[in-house]
Amino acid sequence: MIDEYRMNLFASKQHKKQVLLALTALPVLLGITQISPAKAQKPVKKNSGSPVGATASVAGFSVQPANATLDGSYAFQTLVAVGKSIDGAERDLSSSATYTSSNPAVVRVDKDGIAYPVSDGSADVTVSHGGRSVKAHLTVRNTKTNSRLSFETSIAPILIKSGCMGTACHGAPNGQAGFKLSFFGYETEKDWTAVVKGKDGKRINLKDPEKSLFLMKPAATVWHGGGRKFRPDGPEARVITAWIKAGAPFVPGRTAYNTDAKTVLTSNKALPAAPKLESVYVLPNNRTIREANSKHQLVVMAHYQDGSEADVTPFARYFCDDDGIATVNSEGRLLALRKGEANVMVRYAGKVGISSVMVQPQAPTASYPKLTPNNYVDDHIFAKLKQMNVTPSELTDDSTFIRRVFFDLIGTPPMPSMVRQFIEDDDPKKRSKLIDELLDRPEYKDYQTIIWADLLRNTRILLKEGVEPYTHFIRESFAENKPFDKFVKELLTGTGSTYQNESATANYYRVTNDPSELTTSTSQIFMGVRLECARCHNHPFDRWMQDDFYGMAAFFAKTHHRDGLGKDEIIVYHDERGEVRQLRTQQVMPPKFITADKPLENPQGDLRTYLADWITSKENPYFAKATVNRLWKQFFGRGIVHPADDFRASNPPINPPLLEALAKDFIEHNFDVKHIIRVICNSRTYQLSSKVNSTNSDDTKNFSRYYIRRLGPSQLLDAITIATEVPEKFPGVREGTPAINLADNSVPSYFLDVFGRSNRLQVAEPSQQTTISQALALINGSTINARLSNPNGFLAQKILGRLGDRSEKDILDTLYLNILERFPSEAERKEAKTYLTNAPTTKEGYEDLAWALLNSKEFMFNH
Amino acid sequence: MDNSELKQLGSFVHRNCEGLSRRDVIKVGTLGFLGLTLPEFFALEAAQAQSTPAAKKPKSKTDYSVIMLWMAGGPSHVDTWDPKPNADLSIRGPFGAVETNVPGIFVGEHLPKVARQMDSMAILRSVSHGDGAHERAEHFMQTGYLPLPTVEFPSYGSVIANERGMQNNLPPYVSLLGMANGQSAGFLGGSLNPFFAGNPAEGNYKVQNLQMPTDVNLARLERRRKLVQAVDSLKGAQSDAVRSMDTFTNRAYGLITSKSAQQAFEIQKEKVGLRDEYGRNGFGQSCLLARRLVEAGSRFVTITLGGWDTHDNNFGSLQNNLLPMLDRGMATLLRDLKERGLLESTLVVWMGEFGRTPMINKNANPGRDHWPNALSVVMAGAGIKGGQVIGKTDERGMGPYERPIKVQDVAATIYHTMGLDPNKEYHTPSGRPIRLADDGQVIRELFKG
Repeated sequence: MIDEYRMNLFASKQHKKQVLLALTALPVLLGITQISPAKAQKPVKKNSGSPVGATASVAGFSVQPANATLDGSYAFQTLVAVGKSIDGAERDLSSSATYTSSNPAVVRVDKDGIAYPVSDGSADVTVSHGGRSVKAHLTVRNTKTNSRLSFETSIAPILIKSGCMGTACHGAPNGQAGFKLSFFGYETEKDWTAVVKGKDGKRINLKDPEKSLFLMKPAATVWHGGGRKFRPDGPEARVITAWIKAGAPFVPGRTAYNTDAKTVLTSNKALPAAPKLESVYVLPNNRTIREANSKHQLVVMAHYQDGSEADVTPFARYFCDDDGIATVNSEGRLLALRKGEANVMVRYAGKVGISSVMVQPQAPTASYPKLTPNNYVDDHIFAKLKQMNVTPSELTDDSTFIRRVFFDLIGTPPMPSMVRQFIEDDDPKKRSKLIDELLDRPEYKDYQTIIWADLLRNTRILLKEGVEPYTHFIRESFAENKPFDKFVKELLTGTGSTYQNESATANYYRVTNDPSELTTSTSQIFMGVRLECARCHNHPFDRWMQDDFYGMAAFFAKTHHRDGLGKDEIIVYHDERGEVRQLRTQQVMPPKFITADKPLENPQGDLRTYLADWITSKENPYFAKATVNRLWKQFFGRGIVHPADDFRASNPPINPPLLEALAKDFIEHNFDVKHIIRVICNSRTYQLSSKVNSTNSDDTKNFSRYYIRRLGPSQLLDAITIATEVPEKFPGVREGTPAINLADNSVPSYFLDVFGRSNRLQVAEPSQQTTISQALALINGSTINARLSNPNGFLAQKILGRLGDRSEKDILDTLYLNILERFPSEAERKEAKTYLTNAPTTKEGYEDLAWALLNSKEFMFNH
Repeated sequence: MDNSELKQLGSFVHRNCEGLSRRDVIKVGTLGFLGLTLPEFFALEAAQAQSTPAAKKPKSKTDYSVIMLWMAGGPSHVDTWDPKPNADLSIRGPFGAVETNVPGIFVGEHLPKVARQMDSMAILRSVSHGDGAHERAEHFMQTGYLPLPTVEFPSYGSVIANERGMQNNLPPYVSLLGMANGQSAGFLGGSLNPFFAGNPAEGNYKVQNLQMPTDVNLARLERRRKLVQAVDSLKGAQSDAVRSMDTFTNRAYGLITSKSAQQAFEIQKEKVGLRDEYGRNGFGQSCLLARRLVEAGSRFVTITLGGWDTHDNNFGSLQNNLLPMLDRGMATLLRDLKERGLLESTLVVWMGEFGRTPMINKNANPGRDHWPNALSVVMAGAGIKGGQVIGKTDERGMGPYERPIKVQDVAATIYHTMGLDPNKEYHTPSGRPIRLADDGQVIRELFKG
């Protein structure tokens, strides 16, 4: 019956089969089939996709997996035949390959390449295709005992996959039709009890397993309100039937009906423990695909702690992160659609696996330009782009570069005089020199202070007078380029008065002293790991369990507050009191690092020092990567992992070697932040133009060009004050103070609020969102309009006041340089001249021109 | 794949498409006035004005609006909607109770005008939540969720703005008078934050940045707008941020140049008598402006009236200031909405973050302290059956005695009233599914008649 299931599974493959059969007739079977992206959306016709690249040859033919175990009579193994071309691209040849078992009494294999156990032993399956063949070795065991079946590992995943545990079905707070399961199976024991004991035990029929409601309902052989969830002859039904036959065990040996039910099935023989699932992985892990519209069967393997593995392909759930590039159906069959990259996240029994595909109809061509890397950043970026046949944009011009690097590195624009000087400088090393100069400027630390004050929630609302010492700490740390591990260690071990400079980092524990909140924010800020989900249940998209969450929380349990002498002053201290209980089990949790299997052994004294040492250690798998990724984002607007603080197995980096290399460099330079910034800014990648070329207009994540983005709130306000030469006056702050120096964001400013300044009540960066209030502020607001009419401002003094003694060219140069930090083009001069000539008055004309430049996206964006 | 699975799939996609912003942008883009010049704009507007008279809106739930009367600081339930005239003096205090126009229903004696609108209102007396910190409770009551450090939940107003979008060039979600925690868009993104329109009781009231500067007229604004297009080298650049900015810039021009949208804010156009009846104070005028706004097309208007955190001088503040202001403004609002036929499509909600201790404290000038164990919520309009009290606190007002109501139930009810499924799921940028109302039950009694 499984054959039928499989046939059904591949029924829609008929079409593909024909295509492939047609191709078989062609001389170059595994040649590179080029399909233009334009054709990619249409189904491949029999006679389309004629192979070009006739010289390409086959680099390999293989079967995945090459070794497998069929454990239990209900087991199966999907075998996939893979053809690999010389340029590394792969095709799924399964449906046109043939399969033969060396011993059909042990292993049976169907024509779709699914192997089934017959009796214990071992056998080879020969997979043949176009004159080539390869063998898969299969071992069969436990077909008589089915001794590894358990509710948690064998049944619960099927229920989850079938949607039984969703909120719309039996996972609803009150269950459905008298049958209640926990939401997404977080309480397997209760669920098992509901299955085997609920409804007076009628859900399970041990004597005649196939008559069990638990099987007939979802298979819809009796009426089921939720409809048919799986076929009565499919793999789900086979596993469930075998499980009921084995006594519907929760774990081996603990079966449904014990003595009081008078139907003990299980002997007291020592049985192996239920296999504990350790991880899942997907075959292929990654694949380059040339043929648009080609299909690829993914195979999901469960890996258990005892080293055994099992095919769980039909029971896993699949999610593709870009369904414009590829789609994946519930059976794990991927359909490549068009050029681009996509990741398929696979979830099975709480574990996550990933398969990354790149659909690239064209192999890298000989005409791909030779690119000159500035450093290792470019090596990795260009390698990836070449693989994708994408050419990076040109190097950006000097005026754009100086404006860009000023904003990105020190958060404020260059003075117009600097731009002029920089453009005229003919030193070939001027960009590098500028980067070094900026790293030494005081605004460097001011800008980093704003960035970190947002993350650390440095606001008077939470910290009262602690804002000053906390700001001082951040500022001084970046001013002296304190090794980043030291910076973080000092934060995480903050103790003492929140009002004193020497104990400023106590404010880390003033923001919140709740162990759960500290767990969430600490892991997110310093490791880019979002544990929040694991607070209430095991993380659905990642490996994190509730025990991991509360194990980390335990490090914060013994840190306390008491009142200091000053008004609202808090003293943070540590003593032996305090514990954390796991939310679900209510057990007191010993401190445990999230990646560790066991709690910390015999910790002494302040637990936070252990945590701080572990987080900042060179071996920590997240710390260096998360930090360089955050720095990368500062310069590119998005991380190599994106979102920048969301490191997950199911959210892989766009360029893993680059992230590795940056992290390694960061560690080798003892967590020197300025070093990494220097590397990033000196790369050609960072210095690329934002203008697209014919190959990279679709690219939004591989950094083939500079991605433009709106200036941040303080950047924009400072840009306006510098361009108009009219400073901003913030209440209670010395006049002339630029926005970048406002470490305390409780200083009132309508403009900064409207443009997304973080309120710092949550861990949040400035909002990049656009609103109608922003547009109104720019169009009608006084921030721009009043500055243009200010008699002491730039427009009055340097333009309108100088019309008599300067040439029009000179005037326009000044206007453009002051606002857009560049000279106008000839076309722009003409445009401006026309406007000025037609304007009711010269004054109005220049006001409008300045207004229009300030309202242009070129001004409001870093580009 | 069941529904929740599909939604999860959705989240995984969204997360990698810059959260929800792209979808928002697409939605906004379809509103259709992108790229219109001002004359085209006026023509379109005039045509719209002729085809749909503003007052007679179709009464589908998708056209319903909400006016939220938010009492910041936490108003005493005992002194407003849940009087305890038979309790000890240390609880009932100096205020008595007044019978409403629905026999047998009494409210605090300093709400005589609203009492005469009782037949339109339903009082929920048995709401409680247990969180006595202002920020957290404000967030809870206005989003239906307790705040988390890593998830900012969206307010009811932001969700409804997101669901219903903009009409007649007006911001869908407007906030008046003050602002409080829990009113923002949270993870839905800043574009769904409320549009703050200030205090309409101020002399020469103007919404910030809504009017053009004095030396700019429509003709000059149009010249400027064209000039920006001509000089902007990033015009049409391939970027979601650019497209989003263009959309909102167009919205802003729409708001600035639309006579009807501008007029919605022109409270000065109202008759002096009606303005007086609403009360010449921030709250009263905000109620009036809120009516104008929902009449013209806004979806959700929040009026934040502060001053209810009466640890000291509870009775003086309430009797001399807050209650008369509330009484006048709210009563007139209900009457005015009803007379204009707007009450059936407008949900009016009155609430604050928590109630206050029934036991009067021992301060020199006595007050009441935070009491999240009992609070009242009032609802009227939009299909709510008036003239009823749902739930009951004990005789001392300490906590729910009958028919306890959770904050989540209030949230579910607000969404239900607006024709939205409280179980609809959104996804945070990190992909966590969040239902509109977290496990709340719609308070069905409100709609039974």
